Amino acid sequence: MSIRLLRIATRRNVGLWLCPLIVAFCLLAVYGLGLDWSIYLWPEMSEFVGKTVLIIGPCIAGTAAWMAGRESRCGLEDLLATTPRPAFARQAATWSGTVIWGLSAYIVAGAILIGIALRHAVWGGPTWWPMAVGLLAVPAYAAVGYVAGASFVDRFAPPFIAFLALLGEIALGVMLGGASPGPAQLSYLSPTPLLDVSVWYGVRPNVGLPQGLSMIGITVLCLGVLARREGTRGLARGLLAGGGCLAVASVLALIVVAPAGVMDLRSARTSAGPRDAAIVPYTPACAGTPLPVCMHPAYRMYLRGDAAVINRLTAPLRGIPGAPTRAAQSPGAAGVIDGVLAFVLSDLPTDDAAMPADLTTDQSFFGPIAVSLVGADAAADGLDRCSSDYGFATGTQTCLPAQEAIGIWLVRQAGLRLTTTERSVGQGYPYFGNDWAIASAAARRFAALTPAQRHVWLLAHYRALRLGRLPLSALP
Amino acid sequence: MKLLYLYLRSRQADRAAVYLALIALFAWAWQYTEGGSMPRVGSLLVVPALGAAVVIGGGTLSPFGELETTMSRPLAPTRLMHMLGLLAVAGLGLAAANGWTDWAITRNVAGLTGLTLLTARVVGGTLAWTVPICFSIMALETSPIPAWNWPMHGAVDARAATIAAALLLIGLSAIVAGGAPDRFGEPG
Repeated sequence: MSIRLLRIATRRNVGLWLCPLIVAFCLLAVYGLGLDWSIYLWPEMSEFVGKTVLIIGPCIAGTAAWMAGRESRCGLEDLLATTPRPAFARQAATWSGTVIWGLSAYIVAGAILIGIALRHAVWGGPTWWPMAVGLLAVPAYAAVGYVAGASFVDRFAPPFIAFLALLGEIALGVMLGGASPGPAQLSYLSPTPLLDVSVWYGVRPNVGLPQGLSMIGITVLCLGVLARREGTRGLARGLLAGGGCLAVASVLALIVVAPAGVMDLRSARTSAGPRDAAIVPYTPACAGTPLPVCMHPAYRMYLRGDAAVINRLTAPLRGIPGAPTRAAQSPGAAGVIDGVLAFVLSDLPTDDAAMPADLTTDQSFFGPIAVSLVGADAAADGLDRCSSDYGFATGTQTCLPAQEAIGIWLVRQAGLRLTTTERSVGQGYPYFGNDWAIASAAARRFAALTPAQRHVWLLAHYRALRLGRLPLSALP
Repeated sequence: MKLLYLYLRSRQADRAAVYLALIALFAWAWQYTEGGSMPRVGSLLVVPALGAAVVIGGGTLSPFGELETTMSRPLAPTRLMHMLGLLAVAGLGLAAANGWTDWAITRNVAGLTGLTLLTARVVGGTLAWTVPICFSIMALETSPIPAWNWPMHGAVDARAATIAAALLLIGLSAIVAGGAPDRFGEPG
């Protein structure tokens, strides 16, 4: 394969048309995944770069399939059989030309995302392995598509192969990722598996090496199949043996290195129990407000506004036994733990990144904090506490009626507003929405008391309220 | 009638029907493994419909290239019958695979086919599958709530049905009028 041949194969390639389209869709998809939010975190951005393969992979597999059938479609097979060079050199050049466009799309999309992170992220640095895996996945997708396209020359083959590539991603990365521990390990064979991504622990689990090996293995195996098909038997034997060894090594490495499943990692992060992994070291950024508030430095831009909101929410509880004496951002476990109000900056307890720009007035921020203030200690088991349902787009937190009434009052006295949201189960209040009308009326009655009366009532009943031992009738 | 027969042969409509049957079979198997009583959400709503749509889009490629535009008879009615025929096979196949209970997949076949045909008209039949695949991945990966993410909405969502119908109408009128151009000089 000469440089000249490669240049021709690259220039006369459908990938040239596809490249800008892929980049545009990658950026749109990443925007939908979280770039429309206001904070940029390196772990998320690193994962986003790798995840662009979700779009680039199927597209480049389909393109490679189309390019592989070009000679047959144009009726050039007999003519090209007379060339002095082996057919594999020609096919490898076409495959390489397609890969070049795929890699170009990946690099352009990745460079834009990294550029955004460089400009906006205030803490940490890139995690390279998800990006490197993505880079190695592009040739692998192209190789699979090319071999399939060369084997089935058909007008429907390119779209069908692209469709199958997407299906493979879903089956491996998503379905197996959420499966029981055994198959979950195999989900890491996908270049875009489910990962636990946070500024606290980075991108977990670090399966970059086996993933990279599997991608190289798949590429080499497919090239071996292609060489064998084109009659270059010596080269084919070497490629097939090398690719096979790499593929087996990657599966073995995954079995040894990879943890049971990403769901376990996520649930470990959100539980209040002991941590099984070390947090990435950081120096917290703290606000010297009456109730001190500390946050991860990556979220520094939110500190001032969030500290003010937390202080407004907790102001009536100052000096009340059982109330928090300071607040700190937590990796996942929310609640009042040993006098510390632990809060998560997200609308879901498992992710860090998704946050609105106007966070201080968004109920996804202050709602869970208000719930924590009226619910039981997260560390104290066996007690009634507010329950959460984070199912498919439902996201509700409900408490006992008395807890809901005081929670609604705390929110209102802080000058904040709880609103209904559209969820898969219909419109509803995501926080304190168990029986909104009753709780809201009770909150209004409580608000009608004088500050001194409220303080006396809270002194007497706050602990029982948080433990879920107070009926609604106990409210004034 | 002979023209229609020859047209369908030139577009390999028989192969397209086989692919569509395979996709319907796959959708049935997927649903079977997920459990028949489960609500049809997420990938199961979108992926089989996408497969059918990109196969239908593959049928827009002409094996004769520019030569076909010199025909004395208008090809628009033939194109329309071809597309509607494939759409009917795909829609009925997936509806049957789904147990005739949920029309969201059929709606998605219609909408994504419209998107495929529109892409075919703009960039040619060779790359007709690219935009629907990219769009579907976006739909699967991002929030299902916005109106633009109509494939992820339930069967009762009238707005999603309207968007899908509009896409199909636009796609059909775009492709029926002039067919898919051959941008790469490689007839299918």
